[in-house]
Amino acid sequence: MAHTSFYPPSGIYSDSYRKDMRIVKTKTQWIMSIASLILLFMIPHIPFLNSTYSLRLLIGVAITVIICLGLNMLTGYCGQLNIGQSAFVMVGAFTSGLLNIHFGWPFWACVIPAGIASAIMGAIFGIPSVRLKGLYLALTTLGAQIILTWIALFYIPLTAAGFSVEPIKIGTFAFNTPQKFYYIAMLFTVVMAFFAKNMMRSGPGRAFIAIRDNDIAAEAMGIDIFRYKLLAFIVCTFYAGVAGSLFVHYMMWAHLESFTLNDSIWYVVMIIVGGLGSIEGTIFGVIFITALKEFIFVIGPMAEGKLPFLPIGAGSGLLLVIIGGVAILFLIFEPRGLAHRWNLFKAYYRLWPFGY
Amino acid sequence: MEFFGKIIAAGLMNGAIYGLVAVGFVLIYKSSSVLNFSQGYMLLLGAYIFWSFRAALRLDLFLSLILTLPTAFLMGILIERITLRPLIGQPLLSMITVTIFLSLVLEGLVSLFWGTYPLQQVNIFPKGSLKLGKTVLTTESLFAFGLALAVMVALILFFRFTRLGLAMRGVAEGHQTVQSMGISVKRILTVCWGIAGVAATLGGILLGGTLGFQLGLSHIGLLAIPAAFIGGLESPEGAIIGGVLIGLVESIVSGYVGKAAGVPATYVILIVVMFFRPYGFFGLEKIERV
Amino acid sequence: MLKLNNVEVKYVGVILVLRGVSLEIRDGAIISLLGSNGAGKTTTLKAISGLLHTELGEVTAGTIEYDGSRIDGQNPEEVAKRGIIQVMEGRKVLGHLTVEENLVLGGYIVQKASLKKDLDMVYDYFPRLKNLRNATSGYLSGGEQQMLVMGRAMMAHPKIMLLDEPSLGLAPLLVDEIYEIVVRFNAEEKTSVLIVEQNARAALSVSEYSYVMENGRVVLDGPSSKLAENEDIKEFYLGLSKLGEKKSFREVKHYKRRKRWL
Repeated sequence: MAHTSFYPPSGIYSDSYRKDMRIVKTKTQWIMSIASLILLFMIPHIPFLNSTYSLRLLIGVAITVIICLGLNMLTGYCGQLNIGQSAFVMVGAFTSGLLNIHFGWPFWACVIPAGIASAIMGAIFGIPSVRLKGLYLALTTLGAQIILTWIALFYIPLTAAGFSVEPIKIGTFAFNTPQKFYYIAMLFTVVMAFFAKNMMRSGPGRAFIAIRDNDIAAEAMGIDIFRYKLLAFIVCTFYAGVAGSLFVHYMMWAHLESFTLNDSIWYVVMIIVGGLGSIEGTIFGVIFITALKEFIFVIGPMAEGKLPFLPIGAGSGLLLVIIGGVAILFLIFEPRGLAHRWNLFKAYYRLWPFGY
Repeated sequence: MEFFGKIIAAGLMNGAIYGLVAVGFVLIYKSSSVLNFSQGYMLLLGAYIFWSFRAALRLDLFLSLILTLPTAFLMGILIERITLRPLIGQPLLSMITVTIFLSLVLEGLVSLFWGTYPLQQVNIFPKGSLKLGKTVLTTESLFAFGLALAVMVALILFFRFTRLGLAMRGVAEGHQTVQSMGISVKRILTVCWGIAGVAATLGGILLGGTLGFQLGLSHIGLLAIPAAFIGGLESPEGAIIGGVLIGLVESIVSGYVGKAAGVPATYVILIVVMFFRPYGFFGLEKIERV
Repeated sequence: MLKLNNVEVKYVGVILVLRGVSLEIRDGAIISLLGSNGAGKTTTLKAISGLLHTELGEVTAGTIEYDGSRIDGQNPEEVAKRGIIQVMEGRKVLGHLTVEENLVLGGYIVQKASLKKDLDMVYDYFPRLKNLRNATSGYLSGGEQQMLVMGRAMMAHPKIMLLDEPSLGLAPLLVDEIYEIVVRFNAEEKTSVLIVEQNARAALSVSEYSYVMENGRVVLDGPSSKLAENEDIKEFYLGLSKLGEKKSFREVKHYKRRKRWL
């Protein structure tokens, strides 16, 4: 969970605090960043990568990245385990959908209120953090998952049944295919990732890390821990809400089955595999787990076909065993996740031949 | 009034089972400070193993039980060995997340070997009932409740009066301290997980007999969590009482408000109780000397 | 006889804490190990009792021998069963258990039959504990907790008792009381005692041989009476400069007086 040090190549140094805190420190990094951004937005035009299948996958990854960014800020940086994230996604999704259907608001007017609605829920379920710590707080997030789902199921007839939602529009141009939606998804993801990284390197981010590492000491240093814990919850759920809104306008259909406890757990798996407390790690983790899932979705039914003695449903069972197993192995052998490995790799080639 | 009696009976029976599962939670927490989110899935696996003996191999009820319980013990031990042993020394968050992932693996294993469709029904209890005034109590409820009570008493006696029980309480206080006294922490942890496995399996068998052997059994884990917390994580007796409480709450809310309102209601109660009593009713307060 | 030969201990594979420590504890002797903070005293004790691996430490070179066979790298449980019991620093009682339960656990590895007798023996050494037998140990005062922790070790009939900073945070009178009990225990039960202390005065007065550690090495050793007279010890640990006078900070000239053993 610790922040692996950044080893700049020789000759690169900072002579002011501002310079030291820059996200992009070297010219090479600038070039790489801009090039990869351009590449990212060009993907729908690259013949090999622009099939509907792969675009769908990438959009899924993008939306999940937003969800996991929020989660990583709360769980990875601030140390509060949250196993109810998908419920907050749901709140954002349904808020956005309902605003769209009842009042006819376009997506652009719904997305912020969706985020805010989730944030309000997040704040409510973050209130117990004033008295509860760690484990007990995680329990209340589990409670959030269950209670919010139940409210959606029983108190709002529309959400219980599922309802259709308009796609995102600019004027009359509708982003209703993966090819078109891709840009929206990437735009949101890049902006929100940048915002997250920025926030985590500034005051609140440092406060989060202080709270995670030793909250009593943080309080003794003058950090108002309740306020910052609440802030962490709010930011996390705001991200979830925005992602939910995006999701629902992408699928053009809002229903409960997309937001289950299992999903909440997947999100935690992703940030742990990727690396708690790391923005890049979030992205790695989401990509890794999504790829793994896809792989097994493809292999599972094939295996079931070839090995008839396995009972029905073995495919999904295998999925769970493998992903759960991978996650456990990660925890055992690399608890700091892929991000740490990546940092070690970077450090290795930068410091070569001075290994350790 | 008759309806009320029925609700209370159902609540007590379910509660007893939640209590049994919660006891497993508490044991593991007490000795290793790990909250085992996969308890519900251990229940599932244990129940399915029993089913295999009873329905697939068509063994006699008692024989199945006698075979299943040691297997359940082994299951608990294996889980501890494979997943928790390597993590000793890691921060607590890792250990808890491992149990969350473990639930995925266990669910997967069960699906892999037994499929995802519900299994053939198996009867455990002799059909029968007892009339108490106007309410009818089924043999199942009585049996479940009685079993839970027996386990609770056995555990209280075990922890208060046996050396091993005392050693477990010691381990809960501090691993290093106890190691310096020559007590093998590893062995104690192993035994704890074994017992937890057995407790989960017993609950699973009881539930399977009434609800049927299907994947939904693992959701009981979700309910045993509030039970353990409300009772107090350091107290096995508290766990059973907490379980009964949760069972009653769930039953009452389900009966009078709506079928599915039961589970969320228990979590609401949990949050409320946590606010006023963060350590549960019987939990041990943190002794901190400044 | 417990012998440490050039023991080297590393934490997490990279932090070198002990750099070749050699000690000897004769049967029935009281030995003291002195040194300032961070010298590696507690690590030495943990190396002997096997508790290093819980802190990601290990003995990477040298041997620890007890009665001829090697014990470095063994599990703490096995080391304890051989009769080497460590009383850790910081008075780690099992907070929620009562005094008597703590003691009973102390005697866990010993035959059950002698439990009553052992309890009586401990209460004989520590009469104060007898009055507190059913009190929750977490709420006892510091001195009582220290007595409890030592009594717990006594329950196991150790052949060697490793005492880590018994005087930490205790009132001076209480410190004397505890040291008297240590001497008595050593005389009556023939248990060797290795005392790690920062309170050099007390430790030197009860032990027959002492070692001084600094930065992971033993830098001085000898009979305690001689060490107490040693100029350097007097200056650095007993706060006296030559002629037994208290030092005044106004006259500190560090370059004039350098530690002779480094």
